[in-house]
Amino acid sequence: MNKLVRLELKKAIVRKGVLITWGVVLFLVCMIAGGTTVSDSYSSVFQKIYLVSPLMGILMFMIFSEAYIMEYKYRTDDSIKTTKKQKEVVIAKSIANTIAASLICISILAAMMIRAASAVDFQGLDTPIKEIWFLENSGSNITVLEMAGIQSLTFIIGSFLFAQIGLFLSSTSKSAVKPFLLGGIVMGIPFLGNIYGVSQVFPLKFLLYTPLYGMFSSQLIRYGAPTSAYVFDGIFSITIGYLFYRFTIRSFTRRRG
Amino acid sequence: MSKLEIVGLTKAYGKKIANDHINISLNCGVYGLLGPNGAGKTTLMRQIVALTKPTSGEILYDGQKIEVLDTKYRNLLGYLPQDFDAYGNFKILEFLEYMAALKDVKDSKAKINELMSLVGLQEVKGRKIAKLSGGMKRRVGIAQALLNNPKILVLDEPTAGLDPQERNRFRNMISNLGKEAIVILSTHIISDVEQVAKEIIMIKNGRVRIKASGKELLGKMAGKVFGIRVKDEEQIAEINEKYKIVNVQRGADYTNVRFISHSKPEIVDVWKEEPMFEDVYIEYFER
Repeated sequence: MNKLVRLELKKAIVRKGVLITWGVVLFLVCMIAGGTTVSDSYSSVFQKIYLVSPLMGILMFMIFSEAYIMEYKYRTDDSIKTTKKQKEVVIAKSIANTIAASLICISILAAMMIRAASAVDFQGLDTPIKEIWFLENSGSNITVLEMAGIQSLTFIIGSFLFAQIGLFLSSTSKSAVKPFLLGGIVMGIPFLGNIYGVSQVFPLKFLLYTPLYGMFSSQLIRYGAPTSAYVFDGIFSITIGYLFYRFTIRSFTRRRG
Repeated sequence: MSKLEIVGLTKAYGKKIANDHINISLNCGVYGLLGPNGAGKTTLMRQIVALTKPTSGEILYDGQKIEVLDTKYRNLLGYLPQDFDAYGNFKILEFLEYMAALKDVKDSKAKINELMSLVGLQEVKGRKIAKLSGGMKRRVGIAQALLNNPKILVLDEPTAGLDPQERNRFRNMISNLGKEAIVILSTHIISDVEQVAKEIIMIKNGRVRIKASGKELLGKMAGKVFGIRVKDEEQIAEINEKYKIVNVQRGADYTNVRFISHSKPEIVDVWKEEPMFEDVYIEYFER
């Protein structure tokens, strides 16, 4: 399984389009992070990490949408489906794409954190988040560095969910366009709901229970989300992610009639 | 000895019948599946390797339905699809490692090295698949089909893109494999099978026309193949109207026509020819 996951990860990430886009995004986020004070600098990270979520989404779905389309394009799906471990391919893709998405999100966060920290000579990483203006409403004593750690963890959980959705859409599509667009919509609607303040259609109290907000835990903390939001987002992501993973097994391994 | 039985197999796509009540029984050995384009060869092979479900009928391995055997059956299979391809940014070695992992091959490194030597790709194992010629890709396809020492090896047009030397090497390899496995080989190229196949299965319009050894097939053509030297194109056209032309050989100052007739031809100066497989193909597929 390790070998399969490693090779699936290579298939997912080692593509010119993905690597170039990833590089460009990392460069861009480094330009927007940072400030002159500890509060401004680290606030910029947690504020702007959410604003770059569309770029993260584009990168993630660039990877997911090709996962099975690649098999259909190279006609390797027939070779795979005649083997003993055809289901293991689905598991390996599921793990590899979750890792790939997590790497993207965490690398973007890391790039912003390093940029922000370097702007203030690496001071203030142990500052409680209630002392940085973006998260002052939290009243929490967890440190900036710990917050980055929590954000990374929720990135991994969110990556699992979006990877399974993207992989399922890819396994049922003939081109990468549908999974890319549909996945983008699933991820993007809560983002638009917030940006355009469509609060009557998407009141904030409901947005806190969407997978996107669950992934960006800094948003949950900023808006003082209740514990139920964290619990719901976590269970929802894992359960629905697992369901889509099962759908993908069925979709990819079924014998055509 | 293992046995693969295909019983009353029918595959329909809407109103089109791709395979029509096929009944064949296969033991160890090489079986050539011959037929024109659209005959139903690939459809049959895809059902044998459990990629598609039959509309009716069944496939049994050692008396058990292949759907019931499931993973155990897949573990016995080696398959080369007609339009085989692989990930362009993978090296040959990486792709074979990937397939070896899927087939749960123990000691995969040694097996891969052995197969790379067998198919003559040892020197280019680090090359990316996108940089390979069509013939080389085909050889990668053959190698991946053999990774798990399959007991049922299904090869769809395996020699497409191979040069004569590679084709010869392939025939020798298949001949050896046929000693311990059921090898089903579909091809348009008669020479691929005439020397190595235990039996040839000729399929047209979804039905098996005949299943017999090469010797038996040639025996059926005895006394039916003739040759004649002609003077002009008009004569060729006349022969074509009455008989089945197999080939026309044009020399510098002569033209020989080889044709099939079920009775003594009403032409002077014909001679009898020894039947070849090409005659068999024309006889069964050019009606």
